[in-house]
Amino acid sequence: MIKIRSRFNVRLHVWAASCLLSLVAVSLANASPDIGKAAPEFSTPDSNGTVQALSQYRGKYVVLEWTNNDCPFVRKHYGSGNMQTLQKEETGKGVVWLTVVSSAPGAQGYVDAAGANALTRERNAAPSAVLLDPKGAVGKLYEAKTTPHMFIIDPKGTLIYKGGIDDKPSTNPQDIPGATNYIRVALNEATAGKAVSNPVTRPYGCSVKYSD
Amino acid sequence: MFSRSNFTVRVASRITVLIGLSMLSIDVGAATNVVVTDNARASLVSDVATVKPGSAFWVGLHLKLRPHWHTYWLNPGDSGLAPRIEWRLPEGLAAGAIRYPLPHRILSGALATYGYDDEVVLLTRMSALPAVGAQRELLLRAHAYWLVCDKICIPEEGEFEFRLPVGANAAPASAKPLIDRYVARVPAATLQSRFKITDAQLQLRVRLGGDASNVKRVMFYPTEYGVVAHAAEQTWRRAGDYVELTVARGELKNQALQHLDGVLSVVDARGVERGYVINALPQ
Repeated sequence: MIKIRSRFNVRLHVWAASCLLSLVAVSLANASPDIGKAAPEFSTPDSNGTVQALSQYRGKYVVLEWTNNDCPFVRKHYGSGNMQTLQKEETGKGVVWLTVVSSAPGAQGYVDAAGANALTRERNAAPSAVLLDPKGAVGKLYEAKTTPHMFIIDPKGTLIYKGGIDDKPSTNPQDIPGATNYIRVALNEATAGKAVSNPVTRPYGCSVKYSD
Repeated sequence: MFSRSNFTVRVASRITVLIGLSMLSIDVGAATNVVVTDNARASLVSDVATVKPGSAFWVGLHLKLRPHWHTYWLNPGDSGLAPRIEWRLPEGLAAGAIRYPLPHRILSGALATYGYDDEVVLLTRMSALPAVGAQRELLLRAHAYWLVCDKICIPEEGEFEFRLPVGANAAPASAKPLIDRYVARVPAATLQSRFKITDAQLQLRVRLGGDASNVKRVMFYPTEYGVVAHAAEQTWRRAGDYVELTVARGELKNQALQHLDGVLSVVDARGVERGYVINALPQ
């Protein structure tokens, strides 16, 4: 009985996900991810089968985090708990945190919905949602290059930050305590009504494992 | 594997000291410190077998990577990470920054990185004060970090101990030809250059003199992130003694650019590639 229901659920999710994939919206008017301009709009399914559209979060800050759980640079920030701490800190203040997986099927870091949810549980992560982007549509829209690669969108839908998680490019978790976390700084500045002092920084990490 | 070769090396170097044969110590100096990882064989090599007090010499981190894998230049480009070497040196010996041989551009989809396939020697210029003459041998310790990538990336590191005897004359080491080959690929001469920028593009104008007529291909590698779009096509043309190179600006296109630093690769009609230093001011 339980088995049947779970199979049905899986089928429903697959069906829902394939429908939703076709809904991935690309707004050509905002096609370039430029600071001070409207952030590119997307509408794509998360790991629970819910459509996540950027526009539904007007009025809130949104963080986009590109990830690949097997990338050594991502492991640095999850193995140390740094990313989870930041997620909890910021979502606790009402920030929407969307983790995005753009690895193609078969490539490093690719996860399906169940895999993504298992990773969130295992790592005790606290994103608002994990976006499944196996075709790389959202990744290419934002020109996401690395994992991690971070973006911040303000309550008006304007892109206010793109770049690295911090200023210490390395795979060594021991570098985290001495690093300046650009996300924390940018969100503190923005919520205090100030301009973000470093709106573009070097994103460091593995290349995003796109399908092409 | 690593501990065994280290042991062999230590025994060999003791024997060398005991016997005191200079020919043997040349080989020991060149062959010590091999670190074998999953994806690389790394070793420290020098162009001298003995260090002459008051002189400068090269020490290289020789990385032989898994075939077709790569590691990175100073500016790794869109992803990746530059190598790092932390030296612990005896008194009287000072290390410069890593001197990088010319990289090449590694394209992968819409992304580009700068680095080296298969093998590279990352060079460090060492300066020995006259006072090192009081020591019989110099022990150079280094901890090196490198990222080795193909479709995926693996961070690797190694702890090195490199012993070089001190002598009145700097005798060449067996690794000298290898070092010389990579030193020749380190851009040294600075070319007169100017740049100008528009909203979307950066134009670099470089004086090549008479060599300009002989150019087959040029490529600019910026030292800093975000100055140029790393994967973008670089177009260029000859203008008398100059070449003018144009490329799309990178992620930092909204920021003022006071100076433009990097290296220029120039390939001549015979296919010989040379690297030049670029420190350009606005036109």
